[in-house]
Amino acid sequence: MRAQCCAALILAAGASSIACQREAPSERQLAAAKEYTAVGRKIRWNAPSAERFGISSSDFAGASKGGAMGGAMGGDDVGENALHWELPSGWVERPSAQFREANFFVAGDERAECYLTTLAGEAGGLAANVNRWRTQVSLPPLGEAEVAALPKLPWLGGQAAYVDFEGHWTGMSGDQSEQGWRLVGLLLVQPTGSRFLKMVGPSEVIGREVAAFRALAASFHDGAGHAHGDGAPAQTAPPLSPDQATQGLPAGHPPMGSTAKGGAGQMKSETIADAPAVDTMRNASLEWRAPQGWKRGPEKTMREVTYLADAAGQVECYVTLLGGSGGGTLANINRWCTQMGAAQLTDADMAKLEQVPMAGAAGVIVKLERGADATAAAGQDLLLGAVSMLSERALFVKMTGPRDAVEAQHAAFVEFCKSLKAAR
Amino acid sequence: MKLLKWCYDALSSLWLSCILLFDLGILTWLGTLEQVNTGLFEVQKKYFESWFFIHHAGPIAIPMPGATLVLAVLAVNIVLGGLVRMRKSKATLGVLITHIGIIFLIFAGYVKMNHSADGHVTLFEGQASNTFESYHHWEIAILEQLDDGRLRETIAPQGDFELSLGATPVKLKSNDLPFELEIAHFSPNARVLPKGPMITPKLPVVDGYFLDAIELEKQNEQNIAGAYATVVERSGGARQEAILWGASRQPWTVTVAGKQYGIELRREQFLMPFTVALDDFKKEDHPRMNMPKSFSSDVTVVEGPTKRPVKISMNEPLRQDGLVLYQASWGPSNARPGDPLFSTLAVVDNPADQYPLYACIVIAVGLVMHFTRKLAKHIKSQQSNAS
Repeated sequence: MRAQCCAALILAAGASSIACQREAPSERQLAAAKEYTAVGRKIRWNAPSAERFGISSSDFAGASKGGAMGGAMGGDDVGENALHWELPSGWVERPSAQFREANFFVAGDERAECYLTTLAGEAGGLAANVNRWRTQVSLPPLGEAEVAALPKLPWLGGQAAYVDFEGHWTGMSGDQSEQGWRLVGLLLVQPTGSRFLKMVGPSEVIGREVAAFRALAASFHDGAGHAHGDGAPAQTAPPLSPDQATQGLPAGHPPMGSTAKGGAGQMKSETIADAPAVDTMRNASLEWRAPQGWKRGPEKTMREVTYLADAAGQVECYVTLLGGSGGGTLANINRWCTQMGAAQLTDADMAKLEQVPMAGAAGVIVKLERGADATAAAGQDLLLGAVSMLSERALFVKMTGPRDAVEAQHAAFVEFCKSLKAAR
Repeated sequence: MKLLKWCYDALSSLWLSCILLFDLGILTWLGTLEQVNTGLFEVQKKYFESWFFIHHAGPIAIPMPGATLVLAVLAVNIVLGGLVRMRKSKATLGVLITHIGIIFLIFAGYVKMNHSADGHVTLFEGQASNTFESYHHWEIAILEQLDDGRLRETIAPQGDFELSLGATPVKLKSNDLPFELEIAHFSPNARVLPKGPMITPKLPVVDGYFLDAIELEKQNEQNIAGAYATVVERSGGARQEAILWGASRQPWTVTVAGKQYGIELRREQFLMPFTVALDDFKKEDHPRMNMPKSFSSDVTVVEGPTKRPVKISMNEPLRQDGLVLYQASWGPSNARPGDPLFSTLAVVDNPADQYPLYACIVIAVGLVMHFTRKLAKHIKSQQSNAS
């Protein structure tokens, strides 16, 4: 009985204590300060609100035509510091969204888009962002030295890293699957705030719009006519000229907006017609040099890469890589003979074929004219083929098209075959 | 005198023991059910780290004693009934030892609740830290950069400002500072939004931003606190305002009397007597899956001039200077191959870390003694009955 009474007393005391709600004190005396060395902590004093919160006003504010509200970098205010740009022809401006200060559809394909993102601080650093983008196009990460060697271009008052990747696009969240996409971007990473301009879409579309991307990048300026962030008048920062585009690039790197890929994906490469030089392309397996004037053709299964070698697009050249011997050199050449309605070759005929070094092995080149029994598609009057047996793979290059057009590309074909080599 | 005896009898009674143990069972049951709706932290706080609380059984509010009160009374009950009042003899030695073990176990709980700290240190490869931060508690830190590179921090624990929910501020004062800090509109979970033309915020707009209080997350560690802070200079009364937010990347900087101060709302931080540097984080996935099979951190522990490499894996914590560092998790959870990963090491600073083990040994010894004696007595009586 006594115990029950005791328990009842405890409960009653509890109920009464709950009834007494805590009130906020009006003031508190703080304990003495402590002093210590904060390992690994970097404080940036006087950081503006946008940097402190990692939120740009424009992440939320609706974009006005041709301009979004600046604010995340350097404590910019709204008003005359609003960011403006020149919309490239055929591009469509979209409303800004979270993390997209400026947002566009790229001309030619609504799947292709371009946007400007502003983040506080270094936003994880240059290497992390470059490799994040590479991951999105299914490319392996670059090492620190490779990231440091990326071409730098003057942009928004700083030196931005320029990237051009191509591969299998998996999207921001890894939930997309688009073969043959290309990502072109500028990354300006600074402690005071970072900006990223990114264009991504099907390779053909992006290839056409690189110059527009370049012009857009150079057109960003604030409402007072200043190139945003560098304080220079807008008229002193015109769209990048070809000279400017090569300024600061490493030796051998093509101009900004040319065909260079900072490491390609699954045999993705392209040559822009106006590129003054031919650059080395590569994927996980091979490296090669596309002859001048060749343009990237549509992707097809079993092909590592396809080129259209003439201006009319009638001459097609493509590379195939098969495991093992792929059936052997003679069998494959005779398969081509069947397609072209030509007589089958023998081992003795093989010994007479032109030889060319291909990917570290001796390749042979065959030239087959269309015969009466040809099964090949109309218009394939001449076939140039090259076969090279590598250590564990067989490499095939095949060019077909109208006779004269293929003949005209013979030398380029041989050079292309010679340029093929195993990727490092 | 009579009242004292009555209290003594009540507090040492076996009946009270039974009621308290039953109450503990009820608390465990209710606390488990409550986790359907509430996170573990809130449940622990309400049911187990409280003296009293109100349990809502549908529309009925029931005041109940919390586990802290129940265990405190149970400790008194065992001391009085199980030690003081109990007959001391060879026959009761095992039970006495068991009671001592139980009291020690309750004491371990008390030490853990009042004198321990736990949190985590999260590092990317190449990073180092000599602090760990709480998962749950907040504090406001006023920072000063000293000439020798060190930081001077004046800390206001969460308890100092967590009740300043409205516009009426709580004033935080320190004799070392030339200003008072007023904290108002504290919100345990909030986000910062920029003021747009179509937005009418409920709370004041400061520097183009305002604090938007949002609903509490079920898991407390996901909540991000926010508050409005005003620095009021002692001389002249000049005022400077800002929003403090738990997810801020940099402190708010104010200059008072020509001196620069940083003010930030952050998870409660604890200084470690050593520095941990993450050299390498290894994650091994199950074949053809993204599910990790194991993960571990190769760290360097730096203490003064001494450096030593240590591997912390899931079942092999680092024990150093009274702290225990466990491999807790890694991230980002949506990282894809090639992305840099961070390693999270849970840090526990619990002086009573090993007490439960010792208590269980004592209890086991007492029970073995008691039941061995009982068994011997039973065998003896069986033998005498047989003869």
